[in-house]
Amino acid sequence: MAVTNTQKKRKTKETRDLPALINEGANSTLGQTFNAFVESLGQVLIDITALEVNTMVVERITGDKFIPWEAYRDIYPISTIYLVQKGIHESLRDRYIELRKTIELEYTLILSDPTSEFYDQAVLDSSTQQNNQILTDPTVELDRMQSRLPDPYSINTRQEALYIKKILNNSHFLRSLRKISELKAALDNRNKALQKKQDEQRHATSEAIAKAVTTDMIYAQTVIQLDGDLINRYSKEILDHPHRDVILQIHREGVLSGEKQWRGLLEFVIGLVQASFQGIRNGLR
Amino acid sequence: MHQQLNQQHSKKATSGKRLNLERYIKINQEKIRSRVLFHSISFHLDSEVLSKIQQAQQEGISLEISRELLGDLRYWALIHGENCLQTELTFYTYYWQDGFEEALMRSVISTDGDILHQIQSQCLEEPQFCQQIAAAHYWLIEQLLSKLRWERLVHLNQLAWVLSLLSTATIVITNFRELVQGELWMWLIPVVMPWVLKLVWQVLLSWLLPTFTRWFLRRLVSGLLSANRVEHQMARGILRWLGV
Repeated sequence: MAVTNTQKKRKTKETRDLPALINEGANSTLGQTFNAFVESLGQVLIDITALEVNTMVVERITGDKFIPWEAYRDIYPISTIYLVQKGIHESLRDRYIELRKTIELEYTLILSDPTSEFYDQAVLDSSTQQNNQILTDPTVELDRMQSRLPDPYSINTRQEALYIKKILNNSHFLRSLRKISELKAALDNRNKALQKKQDEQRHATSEAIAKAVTTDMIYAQTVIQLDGDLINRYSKEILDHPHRDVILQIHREGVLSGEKQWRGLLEFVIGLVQASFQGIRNGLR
Repeated sequence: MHQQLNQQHSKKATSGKRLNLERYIKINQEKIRSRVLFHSISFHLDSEVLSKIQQAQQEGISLEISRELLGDLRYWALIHGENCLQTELTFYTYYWQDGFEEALMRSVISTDGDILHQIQSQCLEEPQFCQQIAAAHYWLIEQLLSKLRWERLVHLNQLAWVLSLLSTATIVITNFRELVQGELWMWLIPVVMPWVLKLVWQVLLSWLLPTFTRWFLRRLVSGLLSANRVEHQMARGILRWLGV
């Protein structure tokens, strides 16, 4: 089951292609703030390739707050050794590694994007090609890969700290981080549940424990692509779930409702920006 | 025929009826020094509210929300922190039972099209109740988000009428003596004038309004993003005042 789907939401066009009207009134502060805002909306729109609805069953709903620095600091050190040291359950390690690889990929993509302020020509140089496996090989092993991400644990200068702060303010990176952090929180919760079960059933195998814990996992996923294609994915565990039908029913309703919810949010933001370009007649009436 | 009219009437009354649950909707934010951080929107339900929602869903009644709440929702749907575009909204549904409140559902709706719904596992033990909670949770989010978009900022036709009547009245009052002393046919002027002036205003407004709204909305968004507190508060005040 594809847990992370941030990867597929790739840039299809360059940001420059979007609203050509952005420069209107750019000489005033008002214009600049407004333009920066519209530009970040443009980036969000570029990243829309599909509507994706995930339904998850969780042991407990927690009110986790998203603090970018904390999230980054917690994801950065993930490696096989780190996961073993932390006592992360075997069944989850691959998924943690995937998350760490996703954030590495997002960062490398930002570095290799000529329109980005973080663009680094050296990244795509042939001499450093061996460090770019993350871009070309999805099966690359995290432990064999050299990370380009700035290390939040060894900040020696003010500049280094500012750089991390700046990258955490990049809207694309921040959005990816937020999603990865959401998935990591689910994995963390599942790990706790697995540990608890393992303590209760000391002699059970790791697989048996993984099967016995039915919470904190995505059971159903529906992707509606912009061209109308619809893809449903279900985790194999749903087949044995005692409340399978309820979960599926709730997922179906969640997809129908999710489409309307998303449309409401998007229409509002786009409608407002559109009206501020075209005026009331086309935008708000 | 009579019955049909009655039915139509009652249908209209129901569709005009709205359910106000504002006491049960909370915007969760936190003030850190001078910054206000937005976290989520939560619904706090109990059995009574749950059945009201079910009834509203069956009868097609929509949710009523105040200008203030709508203004705040619009702000948080648009702006994250103080100067960024909001990228996602998180909604919680809490249920109050036996003197204890528990979160049963959570949804994260991202602008870029990623949606995550979470259900608390214990809730699944009671399938019927769980479905009711999910339906109420989805409905509330749907209702709130569908109200974000402005139906219209200004009603062009109405505004043209108001301005035309005002200008007719001004002309009639200032020329009242001539009108009284004049010939009878002159009384046709105040009767015809509103229609003519309405058309004139309508043309003028449709010419001026786009430019005005363009300026106004840019000003509003920039005000909302502004670091200047006075400007920011004014923009938020206007956002609340704008209403539907």
